[in-house]
Amino acid sequence: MLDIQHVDKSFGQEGPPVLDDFSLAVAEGEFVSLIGPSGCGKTTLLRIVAGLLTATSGTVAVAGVPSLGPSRDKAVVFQHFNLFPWRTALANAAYGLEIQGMSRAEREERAMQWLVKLGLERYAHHYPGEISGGMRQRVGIARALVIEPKLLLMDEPFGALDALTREHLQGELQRIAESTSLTILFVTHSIDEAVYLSDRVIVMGTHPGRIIREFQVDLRRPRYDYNFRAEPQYAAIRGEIWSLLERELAITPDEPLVDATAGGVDTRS
Amino acid sequence: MTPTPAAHPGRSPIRISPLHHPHHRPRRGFLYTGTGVWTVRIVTFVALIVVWQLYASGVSRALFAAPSAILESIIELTITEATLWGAIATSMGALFAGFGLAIVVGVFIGLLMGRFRPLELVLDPYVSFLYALPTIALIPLLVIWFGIDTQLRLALVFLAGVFPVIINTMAGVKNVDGELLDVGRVTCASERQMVTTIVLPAALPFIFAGIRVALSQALVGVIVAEMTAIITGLGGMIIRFANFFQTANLFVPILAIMAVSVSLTTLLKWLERRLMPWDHRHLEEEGA
Amino acid sequence: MNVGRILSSPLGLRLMSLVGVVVVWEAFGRLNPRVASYPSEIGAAFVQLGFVDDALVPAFATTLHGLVVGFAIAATLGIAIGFAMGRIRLVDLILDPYVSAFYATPRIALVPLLVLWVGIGFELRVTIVVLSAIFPIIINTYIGAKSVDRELLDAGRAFAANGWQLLTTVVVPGSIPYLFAGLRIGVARALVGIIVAEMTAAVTGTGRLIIQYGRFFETDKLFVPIIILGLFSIALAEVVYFLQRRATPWARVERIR
Repeated sequence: MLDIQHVDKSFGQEGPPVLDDFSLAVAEGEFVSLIGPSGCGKTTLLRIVAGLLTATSGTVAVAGVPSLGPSRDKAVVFQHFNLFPWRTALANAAYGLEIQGMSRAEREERAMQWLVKLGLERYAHHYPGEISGGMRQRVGIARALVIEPKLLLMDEPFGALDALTREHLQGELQRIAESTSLTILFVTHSIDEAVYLSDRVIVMGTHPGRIIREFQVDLRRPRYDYNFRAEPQYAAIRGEIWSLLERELAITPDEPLVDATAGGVDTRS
Repeated sequence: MTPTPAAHPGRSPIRISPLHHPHHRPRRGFLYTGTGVWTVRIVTFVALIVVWQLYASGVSRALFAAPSAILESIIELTITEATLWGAIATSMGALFAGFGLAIVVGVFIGLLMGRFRPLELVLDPYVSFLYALPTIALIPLLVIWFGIDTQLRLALVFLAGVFPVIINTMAGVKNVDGELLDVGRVTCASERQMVTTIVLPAALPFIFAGIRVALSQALVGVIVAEMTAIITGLGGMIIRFANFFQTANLFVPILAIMAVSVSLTTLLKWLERRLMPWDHRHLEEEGA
Repeated sequence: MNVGRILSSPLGLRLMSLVGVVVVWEAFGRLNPRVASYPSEIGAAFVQLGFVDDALVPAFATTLHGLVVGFAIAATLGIAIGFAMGRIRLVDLILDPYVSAFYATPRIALVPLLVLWVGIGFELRVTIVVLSAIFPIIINTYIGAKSVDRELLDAGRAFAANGWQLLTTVVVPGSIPYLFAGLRIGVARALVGIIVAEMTAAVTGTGRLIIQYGRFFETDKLFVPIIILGLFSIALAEVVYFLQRRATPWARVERIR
């Protein structure tokens, strides 16, 4: 579904490489997380895939078609929600369809369906400033899913939320991922979140950004209705990722990486 | 085209992000280089002067002065006769006296109104009214009270400047973070210490916003007083030249006022940056 | 009823102070009739001018006419130029030095030149109003267009919005608060402009009343247009706040003065 080949990225002519020869293939319906310390280029990579940035060299293809910019088959959920403060939840959710030129009645009906699925029907006519952070990000997710993308790109979507809300939304995201054949590329700071949600976790290192190792997570799905943290595989993968990242952090010690197992605080990039 | 990060020296309300930040987008193109900026500015300026000169040569000299004629007037008024400097000095003397007084009094009253709620309740309606009133409307009243005298000009400059300072100082004082005040309270600071170490520094960005508005209004005050009541200084020069239809000369005090206004505004911005290195609000100025 | 509590309530304090000011002013005015008029006299003058001589309404209508026409032109042009400068680099570079210079300069200095060019009629008043109001509107719209949240632009771009769609769905709504700040400052300056024009050159409307009563030392009558102007200026700002609240139902409108 998503095929990233030999992507390099540096900012400015003389800037240091942020990504160096990065290649990754994601299968249809797969949930892949990118994890790594700040500055490892995971957000940059996501923005390149989204078409918000252009790679210095290399190619990105979605469903076999070269991706040259933003398009209808991709949708992005942002860390800071990036909802339009002047639009109601409903109008925000309908934004992508409006851009595609769909009639008002039809796009609002479709947006409403998603708001209902996410438990937001009572807040459809509220402005983002009037609802909580968790609800805002639900609107952000609705806005992304309404356009029925093949590929969902999520840039630390739960990083700005409190621990309880985050856990709740992680569960909802799993439900959604299971009910659709959505392919998801998910950037996170939290090891726990990555292991909990993903089929595959990509651990990235810094200077330049590159893949250090991949982990296949074979924990039984759905994972929200049993204590997956008690599984030996969970503890093993978590431990390995943690020691890998610890080594990375030793090289760049200025950025604390918080172990979020206990719902700790993530650092925001 | 070569990407050149943020070479534009002019007003840019958006901060330059670090080079490797994922949100950074290098601005490309000639118009974003220093050479590009100055090319456009110089070409525009030259074109303006040329068009102006061509247009003016076809119009009566009493109506419209050509740039060449204005240049002659500038030389005459700044070097040969050199009357411009005296006029600038006169106007600036009044401006600084009235403006300085307005700042001192305005900050003091604003501070009191911000710290003591009853005082705010009592004074606020009058302050708001006088702030909203176009100061020029007070001239005839001031003429009756002060006569046509330099005091009139001082009073007008003061009245033009004091209310924006009061209102903004008060807003700043009321806006001080309660948690910062708690720091003062737990260290048992006296009211005086609270004001000097916490309230005033915290309110400084607001005070400066007030001073910025006050400066522009005080400038108007000086020129209005000089043009309408006591014919002196730069304002008086304008009136005299206008009465004799010396249009080329008329441009000189106008340009001088422009130059003085721009310099003082720039100076104030510089001062603001020096005095408040921690505050970045001046990057996103909201017009006065 | 606790009289003390009523008097120390916000409204009570204000009323007390108002009564105090009126009483002191009245006493001072009656003792020094040549220096200042006093409230009862001003009230009588208001009734005389407004209802007997019928001088206020026509004068005020004249002022309002120039103000409305000039401000409408300034708002339309100012918003268009502000957006053009904010979005088109070349326009920004060409206009910025002149806009900044005119913005900082007292427009009254230009009055004699304008008299030469457009005479002292309606055109002069409108021109001065436009020149007074347009620069704060341009500058604030410009800043608004420039400081649109980049993350919101990203959101628009991520959903494949084109340039025009980005402008209409992100840039314009994002700059509305700035635009209104410009309009508010602009309308206050427009009022100053029209009064300057009416007092110094055109000699008509409310400005003429002020000049006329001042010249003949009729301080009681002089206070009437002054007080009306101050109240009118406050009302204008309130109207802009009201429109801003209507136009931005999502935002808490802060009163910045």
